[in-house]
Formats: sequence, C-alpha cells, structure tokens
Amino acid sequence: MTEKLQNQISAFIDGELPDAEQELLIRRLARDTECRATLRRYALIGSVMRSSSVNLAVADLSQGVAAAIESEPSHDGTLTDEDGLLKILKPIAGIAVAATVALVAITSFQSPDVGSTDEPPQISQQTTGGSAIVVPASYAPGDSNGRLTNYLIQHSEYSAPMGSRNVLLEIIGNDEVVAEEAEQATDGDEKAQE
Amino acid sequence: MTFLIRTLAFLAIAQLSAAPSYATDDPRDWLMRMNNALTTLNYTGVFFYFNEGRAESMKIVHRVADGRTVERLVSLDGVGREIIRDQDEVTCIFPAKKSVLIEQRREKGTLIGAVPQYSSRLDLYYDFVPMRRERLIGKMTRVISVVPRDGFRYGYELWLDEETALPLMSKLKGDNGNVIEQVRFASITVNGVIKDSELRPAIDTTGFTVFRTGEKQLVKRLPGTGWRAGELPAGFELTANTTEGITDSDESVDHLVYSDGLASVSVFVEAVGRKGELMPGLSRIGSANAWSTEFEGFQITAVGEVPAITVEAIGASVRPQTRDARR
Repeated sequence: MTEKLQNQISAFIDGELPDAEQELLIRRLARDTECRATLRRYALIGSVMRSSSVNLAVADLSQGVAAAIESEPSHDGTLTDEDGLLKILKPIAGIAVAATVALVAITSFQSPDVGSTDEPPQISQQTTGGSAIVVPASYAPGDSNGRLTNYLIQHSEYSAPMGSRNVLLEIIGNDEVVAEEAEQATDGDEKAQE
Repeated sequence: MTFLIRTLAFLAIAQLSAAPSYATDDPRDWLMRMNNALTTLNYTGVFFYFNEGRAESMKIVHRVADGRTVERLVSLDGVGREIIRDQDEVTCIFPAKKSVLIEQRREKGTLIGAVPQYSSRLDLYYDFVPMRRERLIGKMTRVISVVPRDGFRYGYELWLDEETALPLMSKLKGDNGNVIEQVRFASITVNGVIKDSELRPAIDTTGFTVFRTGEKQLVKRLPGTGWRAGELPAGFELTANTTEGITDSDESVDHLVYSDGLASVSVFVEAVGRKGELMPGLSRIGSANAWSTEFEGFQITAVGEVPAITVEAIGASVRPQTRDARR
C-alpha cells in the first residue's frame, strides 16, 4: 500500500480528506480488503488515543446530573434543558435517584461472563447438531452482555426504520472478534513503533 | 397526424410520471419519503459504518416481495457476522462464538415498525433544516439536518438520494455537533432483481449452537398495574406497553416504549435473579446507551439511541404503577 493511500485513509478518518478524493477512496475501500483493514486499524488507533477524553466527558455528565438534581427546589415531572444546560427537576418524594452512583466505564462489553457459550444453557443440553435450544426471551449468547443484546433486538422493532437498522449494525459490529482484531491491530502498531 | 398526437401525448404523460416527485424542499417531506423508501424499496448496497473508532464495511440486501419483507445485513470484515430479519424472526449469526440467535418478532407481519409521522409536534423538539444539494457516489442528494432543541436527543445529518430518497450517507450527532456514528454507502442498486440466495447466510452454520427464543407469550395486565416512568424529557410519550411471559418460568418481562416521534427509548423490567443480569449504571453498544438499576427486587433497564442522560433520567424514574400515578 502506498504512503499516499495511507495518508488518504488517515485524513478520511479525521474528516479532513477533500470531497473530491473521498469518492475515489470509498470505491477503493469497497473492493480492497487490505485498504479496509488499514481503515479499521487507523480508526481504532485514533479512538484509543482519544479514549481518555471520552471517559472524562461521561464522568462529567454523571456529576452534572447529580448537581442539577440537588439544585432544583421543585418538581412537576418534566425534564427540561435550558440555555444548553441540562436541568433535571427534583424527583418526587420517595424516589431516590442515584445521581452519584459510580459510573461504569463506557464499554461495549459489560459482563464478560454473561452469554458465554461455555455456560450450560438453562433449558436443555447443548448440542452441536441441528436442533435448537429454546431459551428465555432475555437470553442471548452473541455478546458478552447477552441480555443487553436481546433488549436491543427487541427495541429495534420500535425504532424508526433507519434507527432500527443502526441498532442492528451495532449488534453485529460488536462481536468479540472485533475486540480481538482491535487488540491485535494495536499490538502490531506498538511493535512497529518500537 | 392523430397517431403522432397520441404518441406525443403518451410520451408526455410517461415523462411526467417518470419525473422525480420529490420537488419540495420541506425536509419533513424528505424524511417521510426516506422512511417509506427504506421499508418499501428493493435495494442492495455496500456501505461503511463508523462508530467509536470502529470502521466496518457491510453489505445490505433488502427485498419486498409478495407482501413479505426480508432484510440481510452482513459484515464484510472479520469472520462475517450477519443479521437476517423477516416478518417473523430476527436471526443473528456470530461466527466467533459459533452460535446463532433466533429471536421471535413481536410485531409480526411487517418490518416497518414505528415509522414516524412527522407532525408539527416534532417542531417543538427539533429544527428541520434543508441545507444543500450535493453529489455522492454519482447521485444527486438533498442534504437535510435534524437539529435537536435540547440535550435529550441526538441530531441527524442525512444525504438523501433525490431519485429514491434513500439515505446514501447519514451522520448521528451529539449535542455539541460531534459525529457519533456514520453510515456511508460505497455503492447501491435499487429495484434490481434480488434472488433468494442473496438473503441466505453466507456462513455454513453446521455445528453452530442455535439459540431460539420461545414464542412470545403476552400477558395481560390488570388496569393500574405494571410499571411507568415518572419523569420524562419533554415530548416523550408512552407509545407501546407489553408484558411477556418468560419460557419455563412464572416471571415476566415488562417492555415499555417511550418516544418523542423520532427518538425512542425502551424500558425493560424483570425480576432480579435470572442469569444474565446487567451491571447497574451506564453501558453502551455503539450509539445506543443503556442504563440499568434495581428497585425492590426488579431490574429496570432503559435503552435507546439517545444520549446517556436520557436513558438515565427515564430509567431512574420507573416505578410500579398505581392508579393515581397512571399516565
């Protein structure tokens, strides 16, 4: 792969590639496996480099929610956003909003043990043949957080057409292989820099 | 001469019929047409999906035939994860785990789902901005921006094909205008012939473990029972409410859907104790946020393609319904 092409991919990810070059690059990516692999690697590296700022933004959000709840004197059951700030009116009596709950790090994989195929299924014996295992509606093995995957699939039925598709894209883009490939890509680039 | 006049008249009528009917500049009309196109047209295409540092190339096949809709999404990278959905089921194939998940669809008979009707009510929460015309993959598009008026919903920027209204590129935007997610087509073919073979999995799933969720068993709740969100961001209303029994269990799962007409949030409530519980707090898959908590022996989870603060606010306010608090 030429250095020019690598630079174009990098610029494309950063949103800095001129429009005239984007079309050609997109067509190239569609037919070139190596280019796509480079695209994925560069996109991941960029995300990893920016990851600390993302987590800080989320932590600030949680603290902002806590501060807003504590500062509001009254409540009418409506949440509003004024002047670009998020103000949440105080909950009604008896409802304890855990605004200071420890925020779980933003991650696509919440419970590594959930949904593992090493766990015995609940209903019947695991099979490697063609028969299916009937599982409860809230069990899904395809993600380490199987229940969340299942919820998303059910939620997609109620999303607008484009929204429902994007929800499904997130599910099939969330397989463990993605994480493994990403880890390999990051290791490869670290070694290259040494 | 009469033959010539009739021929010219016929051609004129045919020309008028073939002319694009999307002459209006109202972005709401374009969005309606986009939803209609996504659900009723036959199309295949290759696109790129960008989210949180991930760049995936995917293929989509969408066919409507004999009143039945089938859609297949395939990852072209890695080991070929894919989802196939039709009127009755959603099938997810995960090669890395050698597993197949088949989910029974609740709303059988259509893949249209919640096609939003763009009423003037949406103007209270979003600004719909026509932006410009732009050429993309050789097609002229209308670029439309949907800008939320508060921080409880995401915005969109859409490049809609002028001929078909299909979105050739879409960007999901956060409250500071940052792009959270992007879908961009590299190629698309509309109204071509789609064979059955194009809608079948490309992977040989022999030896895969197939998990099939049981048939949905709807449970009818007594009036005044069940769960409701006590606090909602402006514009969000309850649009769906079902209770389903869990296979081989006396327990059930309540599923509430709140929507402002464009964005939607699902709330799931089920008893604590069953395998697969979520950790409390916030989690995310792509641009979808989820917030989970426990209340008096029940796990409450709000999930949707909305900012984290929205799922947290809705999820945290869900309580058992009483007759007085019923919405």
